[in-house]
Amino acid sequence: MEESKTNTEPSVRECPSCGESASVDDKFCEACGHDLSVKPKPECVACGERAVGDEGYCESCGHKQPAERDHMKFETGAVVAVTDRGKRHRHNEDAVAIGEGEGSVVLVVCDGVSSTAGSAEASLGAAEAARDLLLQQVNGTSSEEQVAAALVEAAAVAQAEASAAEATTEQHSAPHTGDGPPSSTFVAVVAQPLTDEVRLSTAWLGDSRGYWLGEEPRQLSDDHEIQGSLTRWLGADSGDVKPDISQLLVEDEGTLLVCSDGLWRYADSAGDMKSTVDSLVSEGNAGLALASALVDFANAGGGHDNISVALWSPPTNTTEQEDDNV
Amino acid sequence: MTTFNAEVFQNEYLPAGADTVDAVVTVRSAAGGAVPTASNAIQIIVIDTSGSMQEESGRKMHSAKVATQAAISTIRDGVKFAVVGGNHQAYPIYPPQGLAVSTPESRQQASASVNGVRADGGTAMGSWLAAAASLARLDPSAICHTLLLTDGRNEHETPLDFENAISSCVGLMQCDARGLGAAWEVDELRKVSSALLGTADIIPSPDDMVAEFTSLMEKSMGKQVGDVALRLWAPKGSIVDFIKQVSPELRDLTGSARAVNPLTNDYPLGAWADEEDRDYHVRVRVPVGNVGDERLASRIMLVVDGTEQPAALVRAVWTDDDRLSTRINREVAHYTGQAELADAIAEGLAARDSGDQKTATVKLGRAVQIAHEAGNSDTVRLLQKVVDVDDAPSGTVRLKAQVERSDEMALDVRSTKTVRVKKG
Repeated sequence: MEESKTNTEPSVRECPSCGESASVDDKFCEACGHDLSVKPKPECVACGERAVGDEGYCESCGHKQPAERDHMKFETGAVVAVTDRGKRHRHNEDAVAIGEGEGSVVLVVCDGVSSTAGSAEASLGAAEAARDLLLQQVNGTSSEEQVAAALVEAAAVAQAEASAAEATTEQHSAPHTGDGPPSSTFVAVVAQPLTDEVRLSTAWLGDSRGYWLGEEPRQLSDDHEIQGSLTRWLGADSGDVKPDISQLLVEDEGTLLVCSDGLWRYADSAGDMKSTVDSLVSEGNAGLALASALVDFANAGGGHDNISVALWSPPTNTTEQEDDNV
Repeated sequence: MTTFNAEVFQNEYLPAGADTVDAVVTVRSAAGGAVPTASNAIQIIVIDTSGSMQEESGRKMHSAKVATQAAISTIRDGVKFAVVGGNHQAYPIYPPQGLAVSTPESRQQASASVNGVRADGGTAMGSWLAAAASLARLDPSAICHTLLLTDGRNEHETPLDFENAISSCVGLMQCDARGLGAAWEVDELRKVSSALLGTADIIPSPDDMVAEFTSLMEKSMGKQVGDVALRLWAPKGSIVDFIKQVSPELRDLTGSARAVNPLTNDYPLGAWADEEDRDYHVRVRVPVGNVGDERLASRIMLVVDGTEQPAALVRAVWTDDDRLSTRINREVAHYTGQAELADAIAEGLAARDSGDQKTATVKLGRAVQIAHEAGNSDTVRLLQKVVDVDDAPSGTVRLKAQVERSDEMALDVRSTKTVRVKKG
């Protein structure tokens, strides 16, 4: 998704074979006859050679190029998110989906359970379906009850997506040890900025979390987990997909943070999470850069799991407009 | 056209800091449908006609003649062929000059010419091979197979002449070498067969000649594709520790590399039949990656007449998960054991020859243990002619006091034969 295109499309280019200049419309180099339609190979992220082949390996140093899913950034208005493979897992099975509606924002994080194949597809399908439904059904004037009902429905569509994901067998023997169907956690937060306050409605299944990091930082969800095992999740083998829902009105300035356990295991309590964010903000990070800095923080702590974080800060009513030009 | 497919067996997971990647690649040729054009094949039969062949009241010479005639009768119509006699020099038996084209008539004439052969003179195998090479050069595009029979040591030329002659044949022809009786040297025939992508074996008794020649000829006539090479790409900064064929027998290919580009080498494999399986073991040392990184450690493909066939990928994935990095790949472990088996036999026999009974007992005991465990039942039988086995699972053996030289030679020359992984 980060296809790097230069803004200025040059009308003249250099023949990669002989160096003579050729028009971008030329199919062959006039000087040496080189086939100009053959695109140069992509650059290797490890060694820099333009030698990445179709199989995704550098044909010089052999480095496997990162999958698109390994590291993704999202920015929609004032909502930002980053998801990252971390340092220990082969694949990124986390997914984030964010959106800005009319008078509301939606942040969804799903953490595919890495012990079952196909969980990456399950988490992505679930997160996007939930986000789409919430953007469609909720706006700034939706009542508390309407939002709660929409969240229950969002969990249901997420469950439908997750249980439809097939347990894909990896091409190469991947270290999936579990043999259960694809599964995923789920957390969705709908934020509605009202006149003097913000309503935060959170639905969750599993141990992905929402936090409100204001003057009084709080955790918006309460993990479905007993002794390291999830008690609720999305997936074909899930017994209970009724999400817990919390609703809260906040008046203080602050940041809404939704994340997978790949982040919160390094800053568990709301207080720790707030001080982590505050210290990164004091280093000049904001918006997407802040989300990336949080991912870097988790990777620096070991990156034991996939890391996903979505952030939104409500616009403040102070005269000097806070920077929301992220 | 014959097509190939390749399958990789490996544990791709390496612990942090490790650089050595092992993989077994199984290559199988699939029937392509096209009937081989017989005219592009050359079959040369070189038989020892030295004076020693007259021993045993001419029984050896007579058996060699009958076996050669049986071999001639298997040559398909249209194949170019020649029968060469060898003593201290090489001379044509049939045709008088160059190559004949196989027809019922030419095969009959060849058989008649074989009848007239007399055993006389010495042994200079290099000159026999040189004669075969000059015949192969008459049609370099053909698949050339030579069957060479000797009953004695290479006594009438220098080792250097012998080796130069072998080198002059590389790339021109493949050669299966057979030693009749027990008065020839295993090392000499092994030099021929390993350089010329063939096999070496003992024919202990003249009575076995016909069966052996017929079976060799059937295999030769089944070869459809001549110019096959294994192409190995390995990343910048890596070292190919070895690439060897490990099934149906051990053959180190490492030294036969022909550079294609700085990262790619071709290793000639000789001719292939349809539906043939061969296994290769490659060990590459690659630059160490970070935990979580994946690096392509090798890309292996077959090249047939300059056309690349689909590749097999050998990968390296660094992990700090011990459960993954300590997994033993069954195929790699099996063929590592088969190579150790061959080494144990070679070292055990060498120790036995030099009178070091202790080392010989340890090594041959280890060989019995591996062969027993891996299912090399033929090898176990050969070992039992050299040692008394008290307990195969633990490799407890005693050296036999009296050993037939032909039994020792059979064990030696067949030590490189391997078995495939037991299924299930």
